[in-house]
Amino acid sequence: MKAEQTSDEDLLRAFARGGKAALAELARRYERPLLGFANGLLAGRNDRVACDVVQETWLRVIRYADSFDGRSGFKTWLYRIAINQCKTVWSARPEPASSELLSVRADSAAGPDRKVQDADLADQVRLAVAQLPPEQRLVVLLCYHSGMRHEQAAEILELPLGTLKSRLHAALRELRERLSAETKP
Amino acid sequence: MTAEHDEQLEQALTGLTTWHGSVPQLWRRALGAAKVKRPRTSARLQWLMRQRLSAGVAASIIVIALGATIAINLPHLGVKYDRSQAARRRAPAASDLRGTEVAEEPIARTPILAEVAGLREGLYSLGYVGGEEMTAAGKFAPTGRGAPFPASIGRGMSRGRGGGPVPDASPSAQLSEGSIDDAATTEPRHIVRKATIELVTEDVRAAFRKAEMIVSEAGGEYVEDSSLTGTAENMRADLTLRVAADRLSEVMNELRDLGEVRSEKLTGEDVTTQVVDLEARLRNEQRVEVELLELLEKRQDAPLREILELRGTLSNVRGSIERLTAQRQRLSRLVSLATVLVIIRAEHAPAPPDEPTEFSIGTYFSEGVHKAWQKGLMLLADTCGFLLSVIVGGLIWWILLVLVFGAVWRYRRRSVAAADKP
Repeated sequence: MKAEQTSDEDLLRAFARGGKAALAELARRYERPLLGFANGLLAGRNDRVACDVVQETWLRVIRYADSFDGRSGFKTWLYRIAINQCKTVWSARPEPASSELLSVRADSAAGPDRKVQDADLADQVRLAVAQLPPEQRLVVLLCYHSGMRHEQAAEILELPLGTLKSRLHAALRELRERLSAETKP
Repeated sequence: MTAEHDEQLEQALTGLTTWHGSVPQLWRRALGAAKVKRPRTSARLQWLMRQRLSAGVAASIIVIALGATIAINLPHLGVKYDRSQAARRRAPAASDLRGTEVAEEPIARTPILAEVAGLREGLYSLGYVGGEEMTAAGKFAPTGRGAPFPASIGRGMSRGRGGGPVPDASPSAQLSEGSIDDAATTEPRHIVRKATIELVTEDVRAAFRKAEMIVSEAGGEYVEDSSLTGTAENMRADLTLRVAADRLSEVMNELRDLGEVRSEKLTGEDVTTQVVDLEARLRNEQRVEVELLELLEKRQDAPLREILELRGTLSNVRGSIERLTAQRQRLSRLVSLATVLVIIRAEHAPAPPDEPTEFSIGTYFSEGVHKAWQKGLMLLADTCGFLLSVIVGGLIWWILLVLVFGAVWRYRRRSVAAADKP
């Protein structure tokens, strides 16, 4: 069986038995999404912080691969670890100021008009998301994270699906209100 | 906001968690850090951790089995220890005896006490004992010096200081052994005789008086116990006569004439070995007493402490002589006077209740039920006793078991928590 067809859980078990290639495959599947998710959660901070979080996440995966019992999926387990690491950063370092949130994306916003417009919207959304309460922020980012289903997000956050949806709805309403307030002259 | 705006918002939100740069292969760094920080667990440990539940159950079963075994065997362990200790106390080696003598009494190196020690060793080798003693029944019991000795004493075993039989090849022991054995074979047999006779007669009272008259008080015989109970047909006489052993058959003949003999029993217990043994010990003790007295006479100028020690030893030897003498006299009385138990009943007295002779299925069934009920009760009592002993006797193990269970449970809970939130 090819590595691409192997399930995440089997790869993790293979790694626990000593197969380094299995971890490489898992990393190939999840390192980029994890970096993006951590970067989104830790908005306003240097990209290196997100890299630290992801490296620490992999470290824990390596350490606790033996004790993974398969009661939840590997993806759920991995994102829970990552979220816990992000929470640790939140508690250790204060939230960045709004100006820092905008300046982070200033370089990448350069380009044609459309890109500038999109970049402006992205900055506004980033700012609005950063101002949400942590629970709502987490729900929004996780639900709109690439390839994440609501069921998976609910499992990761250990919330009932209905609760997740209501929180997402509330968070989106809040976001819309903030964005519409910013676009008004 | 419009649908377009919503779409833009969703795209923006998705873009927030999208990584645009290159992937820095952070898993390799983590792998390197993990190797430095924490060695990989062994395959066995991995298996154990994966099988936490089954391992916990297996460990619990082992602990329970171990605890139960120890709880059940704990009292027996104590008994074994006591027995081994007792055996060690009973059988010290001759060198140990001497070592103890010197260690306990450094003053024994002085001439007079050295002689006392020598006499003591002679006593030990000849069977002088103190502390624990083996009774004639073969049981060990703490007795004073000079308690009755078993017949085995004279057959290749002497006694250590603690009273235990010790293989002894010393000349004195061999002499003692030979003399006792020889004496036992050449001495006339000493038999303690006992007889029981049950008579039926028309006149119980008259037979009772006549039985009392059979005893010859002039010859040292006597009536040890007598009673006349009941009236008319229920009258019964019981007598315990002590008569000269050589006159036993004559007395029995006279008793048979008093009525109709219903039953008769005659037993004899050979106490020759005990008598010979006692006499040999008595002679030894008397010899030691004489030697001690001579020693005391010769060494009147010895230090007071040594004289007091000598007198103490002499006192012990005399006490032993007195006890041995009393035992010899008691044995002599038992041998010289036979015991006759006489039971006289009226001729028409109702027979004592016997076993039912006629078979009855009802009786058989009720008896069976009764026996089964009693056995059941006994089994229940035994079970309760066993459970109580396991619960109370193994209390410490139960506590340990609870602690182990608690630790396993906590460990498992932590592991699950760590798996979910490392």
